[in-house]
Amino acid sequence: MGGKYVEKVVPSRNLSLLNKAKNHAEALALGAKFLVRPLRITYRYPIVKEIPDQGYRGLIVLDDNKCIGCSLCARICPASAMKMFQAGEKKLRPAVNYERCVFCGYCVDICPENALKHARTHDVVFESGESMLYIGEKFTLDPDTQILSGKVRIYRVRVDEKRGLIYEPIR
Amino acid sequence: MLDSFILFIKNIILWPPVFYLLIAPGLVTILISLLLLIWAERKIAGRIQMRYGPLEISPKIGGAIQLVADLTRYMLQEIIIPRTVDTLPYLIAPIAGFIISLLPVAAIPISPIYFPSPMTNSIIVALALTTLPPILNILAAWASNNKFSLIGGARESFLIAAYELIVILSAIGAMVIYGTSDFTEAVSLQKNLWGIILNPISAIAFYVAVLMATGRFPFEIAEAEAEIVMGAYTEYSGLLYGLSMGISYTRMFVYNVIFSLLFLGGWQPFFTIGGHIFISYVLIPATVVILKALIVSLTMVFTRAIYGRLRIDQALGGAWKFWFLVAIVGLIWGSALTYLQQVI
Amino acid sequence: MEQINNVGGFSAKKVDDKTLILFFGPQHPSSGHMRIIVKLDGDIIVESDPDIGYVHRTMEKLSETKEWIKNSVLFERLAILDAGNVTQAYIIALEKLLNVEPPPRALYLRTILSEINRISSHLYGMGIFAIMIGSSTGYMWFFGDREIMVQLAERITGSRLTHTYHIPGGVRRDVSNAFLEELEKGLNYIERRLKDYEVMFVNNPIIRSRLENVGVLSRERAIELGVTGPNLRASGVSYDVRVEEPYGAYQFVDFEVPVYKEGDALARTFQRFDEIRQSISILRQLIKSIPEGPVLNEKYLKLFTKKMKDIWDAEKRVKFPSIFANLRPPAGKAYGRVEEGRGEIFFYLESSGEAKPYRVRVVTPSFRNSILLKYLPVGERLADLPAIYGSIDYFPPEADR
Repeated sequence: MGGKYVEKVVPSRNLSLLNKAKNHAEALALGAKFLVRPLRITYRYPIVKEIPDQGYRGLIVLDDNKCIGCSLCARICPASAMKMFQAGEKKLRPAVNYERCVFCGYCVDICPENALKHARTHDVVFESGESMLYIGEKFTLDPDTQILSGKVRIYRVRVDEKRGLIYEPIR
Repeated sequence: MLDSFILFIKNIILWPPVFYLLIAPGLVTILISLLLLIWAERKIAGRIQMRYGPLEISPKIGGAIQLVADLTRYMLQEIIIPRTVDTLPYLIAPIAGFIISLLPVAAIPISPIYFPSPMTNSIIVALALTTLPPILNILAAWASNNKFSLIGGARESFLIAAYELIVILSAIGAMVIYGTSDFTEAVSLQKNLWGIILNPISAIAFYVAVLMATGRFPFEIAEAEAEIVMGAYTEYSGLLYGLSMGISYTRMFVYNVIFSLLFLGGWQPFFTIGGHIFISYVLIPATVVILKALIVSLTMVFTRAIYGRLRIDQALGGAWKFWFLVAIVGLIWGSALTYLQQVI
Repeated sequence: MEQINNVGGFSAKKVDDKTLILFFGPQHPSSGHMRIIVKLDGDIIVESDPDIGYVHRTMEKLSETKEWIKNSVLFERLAILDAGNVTQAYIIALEKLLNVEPPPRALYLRTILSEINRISSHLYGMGIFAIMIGSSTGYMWFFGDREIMVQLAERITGSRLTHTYHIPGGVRRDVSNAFLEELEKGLNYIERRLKDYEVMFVNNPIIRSRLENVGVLSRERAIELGVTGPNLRASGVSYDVRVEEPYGAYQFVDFEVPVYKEGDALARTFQRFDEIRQSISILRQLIKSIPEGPVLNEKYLKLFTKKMKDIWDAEKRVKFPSIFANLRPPAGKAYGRVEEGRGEIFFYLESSGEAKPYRVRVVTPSFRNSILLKYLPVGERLADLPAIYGSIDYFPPEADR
């Protein structure tokens, strides 16, 4: 068990003219094969959307009823993106600033009451710096519902043996 | 009055020198083929490279007018002229380069009876005219006053020395068989057997030399992006850059028109439709020649998706030590064929 | 060269008329975040001076201002394409300070992520290499197929690149059997594609002629310059941390470490291809033999509340005990080293018993390899500079820290 070193030599250095011609032909034939039957891995992003699986670390959503205001999420945030704010008398609630957030998910994992969760949305465009601060009610809205109710076609990605990645339509 | 005016315009357009330089195979045809070729190049590369290629503009026709959008952008972009360049040659080089790369069409007939200048040595004139554009590339490199441009110009001048001889020798290899230096006669002699079958060696040498001349892969050495940014055109922007990009494609198309006339039977198979002189003697043969040239050009842009870029010493070594000899062998083969024909 | 005059406070040096000084970067299509000052005699490079540090982010100092667990997030930004391996080295060192051991299943999961990262890192390096020698198809293929590895890493960790998967005493998530099946599919795909790469890339005569005998690094020179990783092994030196000091689950699997003798760009390319093959074989063995069990050390599992246990049972996701926000390893020193895609990464941690490290020192493989850019290009042609740059798989942000 364990690894061992194996000495190797680069096979077939200094190819002969015949071998070179053969390799040229093989490369051209492979190119022609892909020209006829392309193996596409990209998808048309703004028209078609890929939504990641459950468990993806996307935007963070707060469940206000579960939160006990313990501040652990703000303490463990490595980018100081999460801060606690006064939300009423003796009531602390977190707010996240996506200008700083690195989506490490520490806050979600340390929350003892499971009040924070990840949404699957990850591609949000912000128009201004202020709009990147998710505070109060804005932090409790699930951005996934917005995406899933939109007009774009939603796909999910599967790893496939033949084609690498395939996109299965969800709807 | 109006009728005579229309007739006058029609006569001007159909006057061979104007028709050749402006319509076919001149400016209009070349612009349309440029559009097609660059689109096809990107589409071919896209299919091989696991992606779609241009699709955002006009998705229904596969993004075919992407180049029009690109050109529009180039036209609207500010042309930045760096302070340190030699302004006049800097401006002249891409413009003149584009026009001069079109010039050989003046000597290339695309029809058996309808041509701009009746020449008995049109092959030689056309080949001579194709050798001009690289000089303007070197001028652009020198005028840019940039080290990367300078290296690009130097590389281009090394390459000219290598490919020019191969192009001309392999063209002579074909000319020897036809016994003429006139395109019209050469094509009419290919009625039964195309030149590529008579002299495949010269045809291959010509093809490779054209790849080298027009900076197709694997000979994209003078504009090697990863090494010298953009070669001679590093300092260009806007429309001037767009023009400089068009030069190599224009040259490739013109070379391939010559290739299809010399080796692919030109406008053969030639047929006429009774009563329609213009269609029979201009439109059909022109379409046949241009289609052949386009197909050859497509095989040339296909190489972009297969090969990397050679080093300058490897390209020059390959050209002088291998393809030069191949061109000579092609010449000997052609002469031998002619000799045998005379003996038998 | 003599100093000839002073122009407005700047001293000017007279350069030999035959020499051209070329500033290759930092704004150059293939320089990356660095500059190489090249002196050219005609087309031949006579002197090459790599100028690194354009993306220096004061990581070592910055880490002294952050709590222990937060630094794992910081350090994975050293090499974003190989984040799993980088954080693993840091966490191994931190575990030595805390004196905790991950359970076997966590070790296996760490190694699965390491090898997925290694494949994707090699594909990334090869892709950059391909575009540097002009093969756009190679570039697109390597990057496209890297996406499969990135997707698989996302399935494990929830994030495509910045995995933040390792925590002291284990890993953050468990995987399902469905994932292991998907991984097997992805491996089959990559293995099949390796044949295509050989036809289109390494055996393509044009590409091969650009690699053969370019940037030859001899065995002695490699040892003298302190090179590491595939570049070292391609020069005939048998050295790999996975063998010398096994970590993770490497002691439970059989694998070969290829060692090539020639030391040129072609040998380095073959080296990387062979390592991808070995990674595939390692992953297959791991899939077969992965044990059941917890993924976090008992010491921390004991701190779990009822709610946290429920989430673990339902989602197979580790909730952090609140002690993680305030880890205080006892005073001491520890190191961690890991074989990354580009070579050995070394972390030295010093704790004074506080919530933040007293000192963190990182030695990254790219920094150790960057010296090659000074010695390998000399005597080669200008066109070989990108080829050498690409073949040593140099990643500036990692070198600059």
